[in-house]
Amino acid sequence: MAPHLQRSPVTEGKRTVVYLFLMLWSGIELYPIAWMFYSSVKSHVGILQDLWALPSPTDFFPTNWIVAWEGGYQNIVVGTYLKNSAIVLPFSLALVVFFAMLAGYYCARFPGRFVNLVFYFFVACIVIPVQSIVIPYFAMMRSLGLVNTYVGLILTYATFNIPFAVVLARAYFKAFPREIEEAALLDGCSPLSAFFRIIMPLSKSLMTTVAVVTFPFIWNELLFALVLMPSPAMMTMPVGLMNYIGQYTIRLDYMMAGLSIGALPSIVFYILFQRYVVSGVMAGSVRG
Amino acid sequence: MDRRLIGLGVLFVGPPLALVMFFMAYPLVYGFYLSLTSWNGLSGSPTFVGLKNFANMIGDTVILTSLWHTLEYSLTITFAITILGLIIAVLLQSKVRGYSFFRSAFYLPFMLPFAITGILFSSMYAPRMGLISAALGTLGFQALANIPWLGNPDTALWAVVAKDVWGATGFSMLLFIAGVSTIPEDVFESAKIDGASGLQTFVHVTLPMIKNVFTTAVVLFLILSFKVFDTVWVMTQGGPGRSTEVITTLLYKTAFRQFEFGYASAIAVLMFAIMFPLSLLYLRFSGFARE
Repeated sequence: MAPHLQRSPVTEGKRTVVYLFLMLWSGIELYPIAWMFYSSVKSHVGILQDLWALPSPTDFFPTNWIVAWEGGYQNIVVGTYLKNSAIVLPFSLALVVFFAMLAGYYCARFPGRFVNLVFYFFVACIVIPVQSIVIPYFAMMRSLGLVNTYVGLILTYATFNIPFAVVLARAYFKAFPREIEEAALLDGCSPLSAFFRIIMPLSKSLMTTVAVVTFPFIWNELLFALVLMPSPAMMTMPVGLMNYIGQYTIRLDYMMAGLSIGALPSIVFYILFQRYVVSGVMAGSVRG
Repeated sequence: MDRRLIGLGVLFVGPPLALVMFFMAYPLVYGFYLSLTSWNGLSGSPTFVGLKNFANMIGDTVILTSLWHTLEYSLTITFAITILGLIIAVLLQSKVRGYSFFRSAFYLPFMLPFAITGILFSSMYAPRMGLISAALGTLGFQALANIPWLGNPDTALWAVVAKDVWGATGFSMLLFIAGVSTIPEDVFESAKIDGASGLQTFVHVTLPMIKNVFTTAVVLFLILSFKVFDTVWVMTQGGPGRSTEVITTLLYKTAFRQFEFGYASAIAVLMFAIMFPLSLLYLRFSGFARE
C-alpha cells in the first residue's frame, strides 16, 4: 500500500481532536434548546434547585404546556399566538409561491426591455431593508384600516418575499426545457393553459423550494408583526412570546413551556424539509 | 410584441408587480417625504419642516451611539461566524463520520426564531440562576457567575453578540460547505500526494480557491447583521440605558414610543442610505441575478 495512503498515528490523533471539537460545538449549539425542552416539564422550583437535572418522576409536569397554551400564566395565551401565526403563514406562502411562479416564468421566457426592467426592479427590492420602511408602512396600513388584521400582515409578508422568490423562479425557468411548452403549443394549447396545466405541475420542486426558503422569513418575523398586530388577541408567535419577558413573577416552567411550544413548529419543519432548506441556502441563493 | 404575449405579461407579472410597487416602493418614497416632516403619527397630519430633522440628527449623540453599536455588533459577529463557520465547514468536509448529524445540529439554532432563542438566552444570562452563570460557576469562575450580563452596560452588547454568534454560525457553515464542496477532489488528492499537512492544505489550497465565496459571505453577513432587530429587542430593547441601542431599535423607539414619526423617518432614510448602496454593490459583486 502506498505510504501516503496509510493512516499514520498523527492523522488518527488529529481525527480525534476534530471529533472532540465537533462534539463540543454541537453540544454548545444543541444543549440550550434541549435544556429549554426538558425544563419545560419541570416545576419552577425544580428548575431553580437543579438547573441541569432532567425531569424526574417527582418533578414531571407536562401540564406546564397546557398552562402555557391556554394562558393560565399571566394571560399569555400561546395557543392564540400559534393560531395567528398558523393563519398568516399559509396564505402568505401561497401568494408568494403563486406570484413568483407566474412572474418568474414570464420573465424567464419572454425577456424584453420592459420585462427586464421589471425583473431588475424586483432584484433591487430584495435589498431594500424593510426596517427602513416600517414607519411609512405602518402609517399607510393604518389609514387602510389593515392594522390588527390578518389580511394586513398576509399582504405584508407576501409583498416582502415576492421579489426574492421571483428571482429564484426565474432562474429555475431559465433552465427549464423548452420542448415541453413547445410541444404543448404545437398541440394547440394556449400559453396560459400550457403554463397552468403542464408547467406548474412539473415545477413542484421549485414551489417547494420557494415555500421552504420563504417560511422562516414569515414564521420568525418580529418587527412587522409587532407593529401591525399589537393587539393581544392577534399577536403572532414571536410577538406573543415576548410577553414572558419582564413579568414581575417569573415562572421559568411556564416560560420554557411557552418557548418550547413556539419552537416546535420550526423544528418539525426543519426535520421534514431539511433537504430543501439546505439546498436553498447552499445554492448560493442567499438574500441580502 | 405579440398582443397575446403582452396580455399574458400583464396577467402574470401585473399582480405581483402591483403588490410590490404599492406595498414596498410607495412606502419607501412616502418615507422619504415623512423624513422632511414633523408628525406624532397619531393625530393630525405631517407638517413639512424641510431638512430640520437631518440638521438635528447631526448633533444627536444617540444616533451616533446606535450606529456605533450596530457597527460593533456587525463587525464582531461577521468576524466570529466567518471564522467559526469556515473552520467547521472545512472540518466537516474531511469526511468525518456523522457528517449529517453535525450539519443538522449546527444549523438548527438558525432555524428557530431569533425572538424565541433570544428570550431563552435572556433567562440563561440571569446572574446566579441562569444557565450560563451556573456553567461558569461550575467551571470555577465564581466571580463571573454573579455578573448580570444583560443588566450591565459594559457586557450587555457582547452578551447579545455571543447569542447571535451561537445562532448564526450554522448559517455561515452551510455557505462555506457549499463553497468548499466546489473544490474538486483531485486538488486535495494532489495536495496530499505532495505531502501537505491539513493546515497547509487549508491555507494554500482551500482558502485561495474559495476566495469568492469567502468575500461574498463576509459582505452578506455584514449586510444582514447591520439590520439586527429581533435579538436585541427581545433581550435588552436597547438597554440598559443605551448600551445595546442599535439603529433598528432606535428607529422603532423613536417612532412607536416617542411618537416622532418625522424624525424617525429621517433615521430610516439614514439607515437606507447606508445599507441600500452597499447591498446593491453586493448584488453586483456576487453576480447574483445576472443569469
